[in-house]
Amino acid sequence: MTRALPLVLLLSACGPAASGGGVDMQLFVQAGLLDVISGFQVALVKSGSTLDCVAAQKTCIKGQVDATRFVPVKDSKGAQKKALFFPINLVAGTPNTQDVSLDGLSPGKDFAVIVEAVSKDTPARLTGSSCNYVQQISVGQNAAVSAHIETFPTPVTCDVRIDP
Amino acid sequence: MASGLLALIAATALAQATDVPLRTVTAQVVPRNEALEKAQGQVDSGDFEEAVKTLEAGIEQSELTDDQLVEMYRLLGLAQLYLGNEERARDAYEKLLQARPDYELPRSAPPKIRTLYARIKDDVKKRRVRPVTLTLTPIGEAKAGLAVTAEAHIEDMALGAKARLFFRRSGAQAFGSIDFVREKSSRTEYRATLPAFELPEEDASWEMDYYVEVTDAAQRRLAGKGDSYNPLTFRVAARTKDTGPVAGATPWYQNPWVWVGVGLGVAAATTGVVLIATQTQTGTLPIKIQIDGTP
Repeated sequence: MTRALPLVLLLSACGPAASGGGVDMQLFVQAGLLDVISGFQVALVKSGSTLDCVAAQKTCIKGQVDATRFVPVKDSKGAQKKALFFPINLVAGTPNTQDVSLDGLSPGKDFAVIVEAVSKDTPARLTGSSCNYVQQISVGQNAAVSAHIETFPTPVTCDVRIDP
Repeated sequence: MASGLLALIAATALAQATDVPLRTVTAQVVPRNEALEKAQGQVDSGDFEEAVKTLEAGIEQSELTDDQLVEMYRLLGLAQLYLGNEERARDAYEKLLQARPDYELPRSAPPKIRTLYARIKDDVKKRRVRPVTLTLTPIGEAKAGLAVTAEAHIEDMALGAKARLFFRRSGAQAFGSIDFVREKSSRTEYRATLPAFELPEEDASWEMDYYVEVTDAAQRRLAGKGDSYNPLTFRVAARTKDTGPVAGATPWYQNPWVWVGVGLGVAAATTGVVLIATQTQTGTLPIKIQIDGTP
């Protein structure tokens, strides 16, 4: 028995490699999105509960709410803006994701986060949109919002850019 | 002249004794004293010899008040006059004047006796028989467990006379006493020290009664402040619960490091408050953008 053990071990090392027990995933960013979308415009709107998110996602938010409802946010240089634009930088995956954040927000309640995918063409069009209600923003780090953008079959022509 | 006056007084007294009981009016209301009341009755009834005996025995009593002593000497002087003993009457009135230099006979006294009394008073002044005067510095609040010294200024102290401090805890019956001692450097300053064990420490403050009396060799009161019926008092403070800082130790508030620490603490607190007040309280909202589908 003890003499046969080294032989068994030697034979077991032969043959094709094992798959590891999991499913191989092919991670990629769709080439179509990179070609069409220049980036994402993120805005925080006051009195979110009064906003119809379903309707809001169908066209540009800029034309749907008064400019005073946009909560001032700070860009990377510390400047106050009504909305921030993040160039597309999707991480490969299913779905493709990109993490952004709004900083310098004053604490408050009843907001809505609007994320709009902006097309590359000129003038820019709305390629997709998401709307999420945010009940409260507190001092410090808040819980992450998952903004799921469904892209339109055909980009919507509207005035997208809130802060030119 | 004097013998004539005495004869007149005696005749008047005898006449009154035969008609109506002789009545004298006491100078003022004084505490009851058996000898005094007995002597008063004897004088009223004209029994002057017995009155003299009663009064001479009564004067020897201890713890007589000033008023009682004055009244006894007054009656003694009066009785001696009625008996025709002017010199003894004079002696009694001199004692009275020693005990109460400003004493005046009551207005109800017979005019001739008042005249004689005025003459004796004038003679006393001329003979420079000066009364003993006592000035006492009142004892203030005393610390328990420590001796207390009473200070007195006594002038014209009679030969053989003594000054005593009588004391008792308020409410106690009997007085204890200690003698005043004349200071070596002075003829008029006297001190009496109440020992510490007479002032025990207690949780609550308490009071001590005291009075000072100057008496002659026969224990007759010559002067005094307060008496056993109307004593003076001083308070003995309660036991001190906090023993206080150790002698020689610097109080904490005089330590400069305490105030340096306090200053730094205040500065740090102020800075913190300013920072908190001026710091913009903002929040960060992370957003995970998810996108799929092909446009």
